[in-house]
Amino acid sequence: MNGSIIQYLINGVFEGSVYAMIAVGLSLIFGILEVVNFAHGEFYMLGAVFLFVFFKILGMPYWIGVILSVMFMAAFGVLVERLTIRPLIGKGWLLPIIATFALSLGLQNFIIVTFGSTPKPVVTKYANNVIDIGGIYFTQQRLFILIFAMTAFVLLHIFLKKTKTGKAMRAISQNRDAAQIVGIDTNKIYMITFAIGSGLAGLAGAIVGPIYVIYPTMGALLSLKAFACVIMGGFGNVKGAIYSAYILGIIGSLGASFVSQTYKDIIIFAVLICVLLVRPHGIFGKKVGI
Amino acid sequence: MKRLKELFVARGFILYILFFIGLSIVPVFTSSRYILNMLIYFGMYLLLSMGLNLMIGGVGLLALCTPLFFGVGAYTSAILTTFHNFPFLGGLLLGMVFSAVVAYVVGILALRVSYHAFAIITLAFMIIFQLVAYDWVSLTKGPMGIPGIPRPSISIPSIGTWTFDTPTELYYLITVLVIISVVVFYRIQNSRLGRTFISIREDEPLAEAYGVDSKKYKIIAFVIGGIFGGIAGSYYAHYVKFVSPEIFSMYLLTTLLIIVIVGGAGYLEGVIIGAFLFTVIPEALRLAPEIRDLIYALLLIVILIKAPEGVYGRYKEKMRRLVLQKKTKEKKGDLHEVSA
Repeated sequence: MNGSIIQYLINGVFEGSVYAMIAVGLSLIFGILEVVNFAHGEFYMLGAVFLFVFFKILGMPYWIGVILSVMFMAAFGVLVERLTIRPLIGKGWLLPIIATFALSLGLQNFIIVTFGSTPKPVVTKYANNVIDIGGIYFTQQRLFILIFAMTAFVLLHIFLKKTKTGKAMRAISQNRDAAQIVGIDTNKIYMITFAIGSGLAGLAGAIVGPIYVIYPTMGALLSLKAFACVIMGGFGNVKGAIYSAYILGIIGSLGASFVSQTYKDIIIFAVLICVLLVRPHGIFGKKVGI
Repeated sequence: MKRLKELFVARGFILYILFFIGLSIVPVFTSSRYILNMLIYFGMYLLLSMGLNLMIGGVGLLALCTPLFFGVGAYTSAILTTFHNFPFLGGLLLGMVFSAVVAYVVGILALRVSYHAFAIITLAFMIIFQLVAYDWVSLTKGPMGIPGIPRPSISIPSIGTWTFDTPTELYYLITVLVIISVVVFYRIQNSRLGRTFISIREDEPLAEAYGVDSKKYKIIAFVIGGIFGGIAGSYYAHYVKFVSPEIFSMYLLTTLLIIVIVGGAGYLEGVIIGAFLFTVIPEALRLAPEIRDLIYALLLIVILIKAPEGVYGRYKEKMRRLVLQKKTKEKKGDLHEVSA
C-alpha cells in the first residue's frame, strides 16, 4: 500500500510535468502580451503531429525529430503571433481571446482534414523500457518528460534572470509603457515570447505523444487543465503556474486512484473552482488588476 | 395602452414586425422539410446567440458557456418527459428554471474573477457538465445519450391534446418562441435594464461610481442568457428526439461566437443577421463539418482583425457618419448663405 501511494505520487509528478510545460508557455504569453492563448493545447498537438511526420513518416531518429518539432513549433508560434495576435494587440482584451479560440478550432480541423481524425500511435524504443526502483515502475519515456521539463524550466529561469532579452521580457510584464520608454522593442519581445511558449508546447507534444496516441483533439482538455494551473498560480506568474501544475497533477493522480478514473478531470476543475472561491487571485498570485 | 403604443410605434420596431410576418408566412409558400429544418435551426441559434449577445454585447462578459445552458435545458426536458412522463410545457418550464439556477450558480462562482479568467472558468464549467453528462450514467444514460424523446404536445383539459408532429407545426412552435424572445430582448435593450448593461460594458468603474451594482447586473444578464439557452435546449431535445453529451460542444460555442461577433456584438439586428447567415450558408453549401469549421475559424479571425464591430456594427457606424456629414454640409450651406 505504501509503495502504491508513492507510485501514485510519481505518476502525479509526471502528469504535473506535462501540465507545467503547457502552463509555462501560457503564463509567459499572458504575462507579457496579456493575451490568453486558447490555441496552446493545439500547439502541443501540433508538436506531436510534427514528431509523427519526422519520426514515423520521414524515418528520422527520435531525438532529431524532437529537436525539429520544437524548432518548427517555435517558428509556427512566431507566425501565429505575426498574423493573428499582433493586429489585435491594444484593441482590448476581448478580441485576442476570441481570435485564439478560433485559431484553436481552426488548427484542430486543419489537422483533421490533412492528417485524419483516427488516433495514431508513435512507438519509440523508450516507451517500453520499464524502470523498476524498489517496486515503483515507470517507463523511460515518462522519465524523459520529467528530465526535459526540469531542464526546460531551469534554462528558462536562467534566461529570464540573466540575459538581456529575458530582462526585457520581465520589464514588459511589469510595465509595458515604461519598458517602451526605455527603448525595449516590444514587438520583438512578443515574437520571442510566442516562440518560447509554442516551442515548449511543441516539446511537450513531441515527448508525451509517444506515451499516448496522437489525434487532433488531444490538446483540447489538456490546455484547459493548463489554464487551471495558470489561474491557480496567479495570472502571469510563471513559477506559480509550475507549482500549481504539480499540485494539480498529484491531486488528479490521487483522485484517479482513490476516487475514480472517470472523475479525475472533474476533480481537477473542482479544485480550481474551490481555490478561486477562497483566493480569487490564485494561490501564488498577487492582487493585481487583471 | 400607452405601453403598448410605445412598444409598437417605437422606432425600428416596424422592421421587427415585418420580420415576424415574414417568419410566419414561410410555411404558406413551402412545406419542404429541408427549408423548414434550416429555419428551425435558425430559430434555435437565434435564441442561443441572443443570450450570448446579452453577455458579450450587453455587459461585456466573455461567457464561454452558452452550450452549458443549452445542454441543461435539453437534458432536463429529455429526462423529465421521457422517463417521468412530464408534459412538454412542464419540461420546458423546469428546463428554464434549471438553466436559470445553473446560470446563477456559475455566474456567482465565475464572477469572482474577471476578464480572461472569467472566460476560462466558464469554459471549465461547460467541460465539467459535459464530463458529468458522460459519467453520471444512471441519470443521463452516459455517452449513449437519451433516445426516443416524445414530440412536444400541449394538452388542455376538456379540449384535447395537440401534438406538434409535422415540420410545419414544429416550425410554428419555434417561431412563437423566437417572436416572444425577440420582443423580450427588444424590450430589454430599450429599457433601463439594457442601458444599465451598456453602461457597465462601456465603463464599469464609472457605472459603479454612479451607484450601479455591476455584479448584480452581470448576474442578471447571465441568468437571462441562461434561461434563453434553456428554452432552446428544451426545444432541441423535442425536435431532434435525442440528447447526448455531445451537445455541450465547442462547435456550437464557436458558431455562436461567430454569429455574435460577425453580426455585431451588442446589436439585436446584428445577431439576427448573423444567425441567418451562419445557419443558411453552411447548409446551402453542404460543406463537410471539418471544412466548415476551418472556414468559420479563418473567417472569425479575419473579421476580428478587419471589422471587429461586425457587419451590422459597421453599417450602423457608416450611417452615423453619413448623417454627421450631411449635418455639417447643411451647416456649411447655412454659413455661406449668411456670408452672402
